[in-house]
Amino acid sequence: MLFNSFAFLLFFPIVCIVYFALPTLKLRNLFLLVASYYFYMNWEPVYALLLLASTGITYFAALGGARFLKHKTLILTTGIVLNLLILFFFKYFNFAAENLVAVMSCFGVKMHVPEFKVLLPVGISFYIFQALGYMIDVHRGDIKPEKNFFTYALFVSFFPQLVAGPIERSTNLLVQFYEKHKFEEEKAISGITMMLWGYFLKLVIADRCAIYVDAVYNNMVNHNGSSILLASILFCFQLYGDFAGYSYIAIGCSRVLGFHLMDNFRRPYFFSISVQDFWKRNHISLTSWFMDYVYYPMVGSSTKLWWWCVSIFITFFISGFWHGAAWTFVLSFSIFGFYLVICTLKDKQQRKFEKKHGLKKKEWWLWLNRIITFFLVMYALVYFRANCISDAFVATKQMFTNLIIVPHSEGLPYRIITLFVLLVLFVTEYMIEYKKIALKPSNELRIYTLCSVCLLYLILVLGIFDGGQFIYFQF
Amino acid sequence: MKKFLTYFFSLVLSVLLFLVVGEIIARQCPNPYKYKNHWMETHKGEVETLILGGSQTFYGVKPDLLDGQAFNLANASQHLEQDLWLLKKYECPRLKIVIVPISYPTLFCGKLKDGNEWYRIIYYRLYMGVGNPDYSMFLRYNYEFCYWRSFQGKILKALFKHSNPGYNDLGWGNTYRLSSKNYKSWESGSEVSNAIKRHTFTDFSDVDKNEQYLRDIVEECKSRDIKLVLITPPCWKLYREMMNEKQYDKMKKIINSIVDDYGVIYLDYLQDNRFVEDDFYDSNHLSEYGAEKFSILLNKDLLKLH
Repeated sequence: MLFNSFAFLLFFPIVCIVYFALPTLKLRNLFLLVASYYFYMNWEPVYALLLLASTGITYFAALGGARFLKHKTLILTTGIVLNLLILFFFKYFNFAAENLVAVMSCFGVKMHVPEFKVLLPVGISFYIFQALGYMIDVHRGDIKPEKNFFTYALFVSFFPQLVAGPIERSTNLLVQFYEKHKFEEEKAISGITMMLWGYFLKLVIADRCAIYVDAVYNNMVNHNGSSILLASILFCFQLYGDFAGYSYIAIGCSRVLGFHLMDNFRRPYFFSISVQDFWKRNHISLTSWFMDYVYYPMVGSSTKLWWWCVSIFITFFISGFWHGAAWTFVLSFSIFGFYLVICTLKDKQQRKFEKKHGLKKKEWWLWLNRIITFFLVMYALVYFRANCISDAFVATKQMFTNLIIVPHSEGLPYRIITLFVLLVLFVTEYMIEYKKIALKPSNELRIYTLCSVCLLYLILVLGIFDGGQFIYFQF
Repeated sequence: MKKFLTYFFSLVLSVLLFLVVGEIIARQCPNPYKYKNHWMETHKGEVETLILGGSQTFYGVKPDLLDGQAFNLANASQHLEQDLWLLKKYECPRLKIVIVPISYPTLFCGKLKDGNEWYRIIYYRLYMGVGNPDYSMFLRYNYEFCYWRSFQGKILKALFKHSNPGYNDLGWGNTYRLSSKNYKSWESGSEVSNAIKRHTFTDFSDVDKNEQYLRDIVEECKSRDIKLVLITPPCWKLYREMMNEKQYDKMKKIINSIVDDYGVIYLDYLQDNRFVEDDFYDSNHLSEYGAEKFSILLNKDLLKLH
């Protein structure tokens, strides 16, 4: 079920009403579990079995690890391997086969690997990573293994964040299933407002930008450098609006139900002052997952700078694979890895330079860094969006060699609307970043309501309602 | 709970207010259905030639190039059922010729209200006053907001004061310009195959109903002493080549039987090689140049009939 579908607008209020009407915690959790599976099965019912399999494997692996301490590493490894096998089989099999055939043909060996014709299960990378995180947490002793299978199954399948995150930690979400949440006005109001903000980001920003981005990126040869540059800039906002939009809706839904999910975005595109800062603000749940379960274990207690750099690069390289079975994603994240290695290497000198010239608190310096960061990120995302690597190279070449601006009035209303909605986004984020707004529904209900109504009107008038799926569903 | 209810009902009321105000704005927005109805109501005593049908005639026949007072009453995706509604609605005392296009999908497609373009029924009901009067007020065929994309588009048009309504004074659709033709898909042939895919039917279950509508149109014209001219407008040669022969043969068979039964005139331009690539906007619609050429040719052929 899509958040931006009419079915969800019926589903969510019914879930809320029934949830709060049920008298016991057990019943509530059971109901949420059924609702979550129903939500997931709306795409392809049979894939609920995969979700169940991943849940079962990690549940028993965590319990087994705690019971048979001698073999806990073996059990953990088995659990991880089985989950990664599911992921590999459904997400990477065809990609691996294709590449194997290509490599072998370079050596003159002709191979035939049968194509595995199957739809990618929605959100498979998200729930498998969440389940893997839980297993590792149990193995490390950060959390006790969950004994109740249904509670654990709810943790893996909790519908607001099931298909596109935030990838929750057991230490945050699992424990919340043991609290009986009361309906709280303030949480409900702020939750709905957050959902509206999410819908604004998805329907107004992302899907509106997508019109231009798709037109250019799907027909690259007919566009000059300036069109490609503009499309690449708009793609940043499309990706942000799409994914942050989903996260805000997920966090808002959960808040209405009384749950607290982790923040996933903190205004990464307008306010990041470096690529490092960008990844502290963008897709926080995934970045922190990779940091906690890949980067830090890899670095260990090493103090060698070169090893830090290698670890960063490898972490981002893997992260590229997580995003999808295509070299474009891998290359895009390798570029990010490269940026971060450079950031790590120049970190000391930059701090010295900023201190010497007193630049750290100067607004113009911050904005200069923000603009540079934005364009660095934009360039890496060209590879993310391009239909193939050669398209990305064409885009790069065109952007650097064919920057002709041809004034024309075609599509003027579209351009004005896009500029206007991006301005709304910027002003709102600016006010939040500089703490000019920090409203609480309890004392500012009128302003809260007014803002929500304005958002609602923007969505109704400018939203694209047939824009389709969220980009991150494919991951 | 009071605060939440205040907040919640503010949102609900805002949506309702938006729908009401939006509906009023959308209905005031110029559209071809409203314009054509108004024109017919005020000029029905003058009109001599009436062009019916869907997009092929809406964009393909320019009434100002036909002799006498002609008007283009065609609309995009207009089905034979709507042609019959409109023909019956406007009693034009001087009407001599009615042109009805029979193209590749005409006799095979389902009713407009059941297809992807169901929302056009709203416009026939709201702006032309034709259609099924028995629909409940709760059905989707009654309000502009039931089809959100067009509803939103009309509100935005009102906000941006969009100048070109998409048709000229005599009802000809003037937006299929060669300058906005998508050359890439045209050259690769994907546009043609997509169009053929949309227009080819494996199930012929609607044929009998559609044939009956056509026969009803013939009877209506006969009873009012109007000359009915059936035409098959020109299409790009690749479109003709990719047509399903079974469907095409069936179409020809029905047309021939109607021609034989009623002595109706039939003009077939489907494979007319006087139309070149620039005469087409896409594989089955004429561009502004093609429309001009086609209207002149059609006029000559109509004059020959007198």
